[in-house]
Amino acid sequence: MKRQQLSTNEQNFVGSSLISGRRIDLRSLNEIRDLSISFGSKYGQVMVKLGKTKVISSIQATVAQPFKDRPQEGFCRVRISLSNVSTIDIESNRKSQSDTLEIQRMIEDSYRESRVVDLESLCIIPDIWVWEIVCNVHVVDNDGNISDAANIATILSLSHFKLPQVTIKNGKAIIHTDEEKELIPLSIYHLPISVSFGLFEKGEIIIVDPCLIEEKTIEGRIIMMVNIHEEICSIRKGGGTPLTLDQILYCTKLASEKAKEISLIIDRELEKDLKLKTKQEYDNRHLISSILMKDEQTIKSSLPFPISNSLEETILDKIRNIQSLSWTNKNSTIEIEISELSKFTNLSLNLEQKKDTVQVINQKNVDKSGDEDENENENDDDFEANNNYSDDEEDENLNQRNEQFKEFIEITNILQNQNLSKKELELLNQLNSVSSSNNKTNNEKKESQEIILNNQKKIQNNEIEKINSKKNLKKNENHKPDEIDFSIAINPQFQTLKKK
Amino acid sequence: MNSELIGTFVLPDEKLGEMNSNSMKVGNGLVISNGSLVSSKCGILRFKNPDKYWIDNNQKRYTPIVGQPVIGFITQKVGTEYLVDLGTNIPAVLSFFGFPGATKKNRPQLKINDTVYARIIASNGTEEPQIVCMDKNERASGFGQLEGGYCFKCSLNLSRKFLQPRNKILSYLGKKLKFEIAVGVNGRIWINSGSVQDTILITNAIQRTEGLTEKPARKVINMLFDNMM
Repeated sequence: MKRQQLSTNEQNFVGSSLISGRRIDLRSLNEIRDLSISFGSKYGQVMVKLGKTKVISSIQATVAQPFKDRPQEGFCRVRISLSNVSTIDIESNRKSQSDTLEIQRMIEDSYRESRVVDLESLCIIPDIWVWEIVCNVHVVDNDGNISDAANIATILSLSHFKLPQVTIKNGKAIIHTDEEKELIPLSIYHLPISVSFGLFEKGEIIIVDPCLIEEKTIEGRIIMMVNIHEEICSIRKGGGTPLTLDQILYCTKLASEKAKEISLIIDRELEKDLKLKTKQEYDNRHLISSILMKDEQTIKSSLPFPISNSLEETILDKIRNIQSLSWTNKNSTIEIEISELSKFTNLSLNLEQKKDTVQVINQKNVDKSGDEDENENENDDDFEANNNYSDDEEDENLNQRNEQFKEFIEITNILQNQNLSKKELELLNQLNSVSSSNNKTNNEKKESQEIILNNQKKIQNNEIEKINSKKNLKKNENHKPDEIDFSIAINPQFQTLKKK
Repeated sequence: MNSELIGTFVLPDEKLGEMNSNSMKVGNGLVISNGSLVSSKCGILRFKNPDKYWIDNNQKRYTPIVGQPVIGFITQKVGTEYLVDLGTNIPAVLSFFGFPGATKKNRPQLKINDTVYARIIASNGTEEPQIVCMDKNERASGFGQLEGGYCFKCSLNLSRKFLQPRNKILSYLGKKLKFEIAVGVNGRIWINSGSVQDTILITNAIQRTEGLTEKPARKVINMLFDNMM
């Protein structure tokens, strides 16, 4: 049981102090309490503190069906909830919960009518699927003036939030994850800011931003939502003492001044946090991409702690995912080339004599719309054309290629151990000893052929392991196309392979 | 075990040592479970000779303890009793006979939403605590209705500090202003002085110097004075 009214002492005192022109917490009549804003780890999470009132908000985005008479408009909703934790002293009964309903409707209606969020940009497929964005506001501590704090929280979380991208293919809508495609912020036209006034002495005394005790002694209340461009978005007055026109105009002037103050603070904090977040993402990806440039041993030595095998796998998965992104980085141009390449090419590996480097070659441009079959045939032609070797060259090339093959297998083992089953591993290990022993049965040949084919496909499906400098790439440009090998098939015994 | 932990910060659900009912008295924030002392609050473990253990912590919610002075607001009148709100989970009961010189015909004339300074006589965890506006010797001695002035809410630690005999902030304020003050252990302080300005000054001085030592507290109070004048 909590008390529902203020004691007579408090009421009388607050009244008499207001008449003498002072407020309890030494503010002037037109002063707002200190605003402090902090953001959460995800986009759309905000905590707002107005003096002692604390409000937390977050955003949920779900896919829903639109109304039939507005098939291209999404939804933007607000939900405010008071909990028992928020007011210890004075009870939050039905009256105060109906207050929150009032505030909730005021915010929703004014956002809709003054077009804060562009609802048509939330459309995915008209008349079928549409984004529904709900902002959940929880009042954690109630020291008066929930409406202002809740409004600031919703505006901040809406302008901080980012939606995932959607592409439409063959009538299906695919929602991309954060790692595939960048998130897009909502399109917001303006930020309305609410300023609430307390009326006393039949409207002669007007306070800005009343605290809880003042709220309970006040005779009337008026809330105004104003833009930074001095546009009034909404005015709400629910009961209480009547006001004259002059008093209302005075309130509007005050409200526009306060709105400018608050919106400056809001813009500043938003910019700071968005910069921080993009910087964090950049740093995370830059870290991983800088890991890409190095060998495995240097990676392990540079990390301050030893990695387990499962961590290695997760890191390598992430590296591969990152490489498939369309994310550009101005400082390292190499990564641009490779990401561009990876979009449009089937890649193959070519091992050089140097052990440390593995090069990337642009084989041919493949149109994803369906010319893949023709390219496969062309690859087969090149494959067969390059298989005409003389015996002398075979002996020389054998040794080189065996060495290259060993290196290649080592690398593939390191990177793709997770994808290979035990049998394949054993067979690979057997293949390592192929170069030494030329005696082989047909079954082993077939098995090894299959493994090599599988490896080739995997490598072409997964992207690159290591990146070279620009000079080596240029060297490859000078490299004649006839000398390019599908060096996976190194042993001349395997040269009769054909793709199926 | 126990002697090492005395004076250190302790988290809830930490085992502090085995329980010896001869040599230990269990105080605030400590609980016996399975024969060992376990903490149930965050705070600093304290020990007083010969046998008292308790945890020093700060909180805003009050649990009623017999014999302590509290400030309450009257919420209801039921038969021959008043229901008084102390900020606890259950409202307390103040009977008409809990005033000095009260008889069946001589009834107190308190109304709803009045403030009252009282003392706790009986409190269970489950039943309504009972309060009385008198001393042990059935004299008023400051208890009773508090008229005028302003009553505000604070943490329990602060109210306990202002109940100590020589509080430096109060003595410093008393040199400059004249005022009356009543402190309730349930986190409420009542102040009355000649003018509205003074009471506002004093409330802000008390609220803003929580946790400060003497010198910074004086600086804060001087700044407040300068702003008001």
